[in-house]
Amino acid sequence: MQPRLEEESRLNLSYRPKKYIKKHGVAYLFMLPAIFFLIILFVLPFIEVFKMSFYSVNLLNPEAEAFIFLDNFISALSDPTFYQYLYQGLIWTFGSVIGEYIVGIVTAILLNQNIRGKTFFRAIIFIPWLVPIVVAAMTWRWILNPDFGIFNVMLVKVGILDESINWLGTAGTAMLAVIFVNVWRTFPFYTVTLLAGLQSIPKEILEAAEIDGAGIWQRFWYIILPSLKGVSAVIIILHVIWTFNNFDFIWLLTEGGPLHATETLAITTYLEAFEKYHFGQASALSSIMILILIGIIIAYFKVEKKQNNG
Amino acid sequence: MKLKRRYSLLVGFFLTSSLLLSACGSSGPSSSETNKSGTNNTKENSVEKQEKVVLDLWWSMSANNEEHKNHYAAIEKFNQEHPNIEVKPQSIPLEQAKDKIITSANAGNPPDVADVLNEWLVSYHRMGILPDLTEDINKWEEKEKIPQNIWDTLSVDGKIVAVPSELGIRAFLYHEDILKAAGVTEPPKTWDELLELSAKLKEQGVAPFGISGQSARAPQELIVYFWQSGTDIAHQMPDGKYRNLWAENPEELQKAVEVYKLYKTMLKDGVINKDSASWGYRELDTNFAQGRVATTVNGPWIKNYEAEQPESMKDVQIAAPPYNTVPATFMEVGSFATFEGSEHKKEAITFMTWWLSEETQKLVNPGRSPNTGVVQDGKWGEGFNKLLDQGRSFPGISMGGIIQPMIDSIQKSLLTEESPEEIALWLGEQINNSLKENGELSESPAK
Amino acid sequence: MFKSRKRQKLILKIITYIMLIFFSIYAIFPVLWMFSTSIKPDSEVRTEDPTFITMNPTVEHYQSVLIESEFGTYLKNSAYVSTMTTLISMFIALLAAYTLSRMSKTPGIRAIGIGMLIAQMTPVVMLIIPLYVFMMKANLLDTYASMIITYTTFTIPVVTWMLKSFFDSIPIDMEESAFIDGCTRFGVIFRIILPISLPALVATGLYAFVHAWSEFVLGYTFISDDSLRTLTPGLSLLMGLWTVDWGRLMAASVVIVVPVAIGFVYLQKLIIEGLTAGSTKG
Repeated sequence: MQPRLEEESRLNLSYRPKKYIKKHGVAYLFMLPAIFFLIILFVLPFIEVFKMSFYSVNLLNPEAEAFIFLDNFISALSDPTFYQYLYQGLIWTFGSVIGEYIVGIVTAILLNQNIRGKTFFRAIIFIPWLVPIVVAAMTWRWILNPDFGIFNVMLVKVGILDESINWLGTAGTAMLAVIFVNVWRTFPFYTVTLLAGLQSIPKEILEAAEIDGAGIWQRFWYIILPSLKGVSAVIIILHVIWTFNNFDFIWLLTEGGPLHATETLAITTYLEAFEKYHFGQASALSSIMILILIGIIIAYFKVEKKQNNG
Repeated sequence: MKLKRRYSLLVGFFLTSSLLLSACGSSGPSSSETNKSGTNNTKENSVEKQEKVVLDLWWSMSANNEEHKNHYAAIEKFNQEHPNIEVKPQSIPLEQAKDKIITSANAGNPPDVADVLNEWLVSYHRMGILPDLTEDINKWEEKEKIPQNIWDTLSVDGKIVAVPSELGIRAFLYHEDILKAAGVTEPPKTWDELLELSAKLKEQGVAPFGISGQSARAPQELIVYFWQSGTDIAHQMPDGKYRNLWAENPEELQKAVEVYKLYKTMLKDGVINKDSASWGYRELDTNFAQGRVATTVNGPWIKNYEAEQPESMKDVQIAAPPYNTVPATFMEVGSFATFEGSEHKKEAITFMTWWLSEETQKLVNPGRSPNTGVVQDGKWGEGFNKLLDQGRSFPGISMGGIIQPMIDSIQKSLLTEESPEEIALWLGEQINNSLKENGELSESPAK
Repeated sequence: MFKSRKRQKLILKIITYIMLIFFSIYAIFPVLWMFSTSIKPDSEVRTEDPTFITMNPTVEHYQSVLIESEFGTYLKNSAYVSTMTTLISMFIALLAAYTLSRMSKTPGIRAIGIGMLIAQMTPVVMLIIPLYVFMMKANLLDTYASMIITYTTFTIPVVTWMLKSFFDSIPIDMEESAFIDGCTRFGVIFRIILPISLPALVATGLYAFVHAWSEFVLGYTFISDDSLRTLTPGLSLLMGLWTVDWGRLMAASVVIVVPVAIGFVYLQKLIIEGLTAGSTKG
């Protein structure tokens, strides 16, 4: 399915540099601005972080700076809490992304229907995304408070709960509550994106399928989902990265507590860097996190490839 | 300036080129003039230069906050009195300031003066970003008006590194009406009295005492209990370095164990709310202000809740915190610091000492001044400041690697079955680990 | 047969409404709480028995936020920074996405695309100091440019990849005929691709806008000058060290949220009209 233009150019690339530039130059030219920004602000710090992970860098003890090769990695990986925080980080990441996707796609399909008040509903469902994280976290912390939060008060009044639950302060519910709030804040982005994808599905196809007798589920599975595949893959991958690395949301809601029940590697990295000022250790943790993310993404592409081939 | 220009040119280039190139060969391109992307760089005329030093001041005061009006007025006064110095204040909230100062100072680009909290000072000093102010302070005529324990909290390794600007002392606060209703006339003086009184208060349907198990407040409460019990998280050894002694000194350990016993007893007997482990300062303060918690240890900011909770805050009274063997309380000293890398340290010191002088303090800090020359007024000012003698703050070690374990130890005692002894030993080990990582650990355990 | 179909449609419609209302409540509940707090007088803000309704609504918090504070300046700064970020990052990402989608056979292009994904995996906390040093050396501290450049870079990978996935779903035939008509690459992108992918452009553009609108950490790291501060770092000025002015904080939050929400609704309307106009023409 590749365009003919490129096929052609491929054949005679190595022979004539001039022609090569003529054919491909525009591709590099178009990429240039993006590369320029990324190199300055991402790649250079990225290399710096990678390098620092082999050094003992402690801002509080500047004289002790030295090349220590893998010591930072060893000390990170030999700490049993590392695996606990990794596990919790994965729960947080996948719990959030799955929840966001489900709510996102359902709301996108609902909002794509031909109904009255569509604009109104769109505006409302879009709003959580605009609430700054600081405010979102503080407001939810207040709402979920067991003593003076409206959520518990209402549930008790209605009779769903016998007594208030300390959602964010109990080891069993804290992670759930944190994910719940994150889904609330993030799902509108999925809605907006998936809605854009849905709008590009020609109405005629859906109508034709309906006339042919395809039910809602069939239309969903065989027409809607496949046509959203590309967009879905991208937003899922991007959010896996974003969520896995995110620290401020959990930090503002629970500070990783109670007793580290909601601590993730991102929080550990933050604490190492800006509480303990152990930048070497924090860099090693970041490097490990990057490797894990790369692993997740490779796995994702492999699975996708297998599905496409199968 | 130049770079800014170039940057906007770059943007302009991208935008205009996109417009021009987007045209198709067959259809005639609309050649409208779109060159100017409205950037009008008005040239700042180089005003004839006076020899005037501009001091960049980062502080948490907001120009539009009614309470901070006097602070800004004071800056203007300073600028008038010192024609060669101009202080330029920028409001930076404290929670942003901490990381921002580290970032900018480590990059060699710090502000000239900044608002700092005393728990940051040791770390800043170890990073080598705080100059030694001892000599200049010793020359200052009003030095004696500041109590020695305040200078102590602002000193690291015997050097004064910051100048106090504001004082926040913690006191025992209680709702007098709730105590009266329970037949209690006197606030408790010791831990035992607190526990005793709690049995009566519980019948009033409130939590007798309030603590915080999370965020910045929790370790501040914990360390006060250690002091009140006669121990500390780290002791300075003869070699000038520090060490936690609980693992090697059974007597010290016992004192620490009593603290965790107190936490456990308070939870078991319902002296504190069952959710206390997840209470940050907001939860604690709100619950106290609303009268759901009868007593707590807290600072003068609680006064701000009077507007929110006028009814339930009416009966709040102030006393000394109950203690075990040694009376002690937490003293929060807000201070100004200048930084290595600032080109105007001398002027900065002039400003900081001017700020602390009796004359200025009367203007800006009538209620909570570190300068004893300022007469305290009203229940809030007086009640807190008479506790000045008991006031202490964190020892001279970097707290970054210790704060989190301290919070963990509180949560362990409230949420797990671990024994007080296990918890104390665990915390002691964490503290010594952190000291070791930062080169602050004394290797000579004194017997 | 016909009737039952109609009835089925009606039932579906009802279900759709019920679900929409349910999700709307989920989305709006905390925001309603913010709003109701913002119009309560101080003495009702934090009560033992919280309710949504107040008998004594007041605008004093809005007054104090909008008139008696620098919030107007922050709003203006945020609007400028976010708009510029959106424009620049959209332009750059558009080219990159088109290249990734249409010219991925060119050696190195795919690698660059994947490199984009990997490059943004560094946790932000590790970027604070390097980026600060960069901005300091470039003499860009305390400028809008520092924020615009950074936010643009942060949004480029996301916007690029999202646009690429949308472009992938556009059939290639139309472009080829345009080439034959003598359009340049730019011409193809702006004349053919852009109009079709308008909804996608809005979705991604919003991403860039919202990112810049709510970014916090780097905003306060780069900016010390109050006159250049943006909204979210400005919000913290409403919080003291130990106390929070909830009424003002919530009023300020409402002020942050509402303009963008209205803008979004307006854009949506515009797009839907644009789309229907396009389809009748075609």
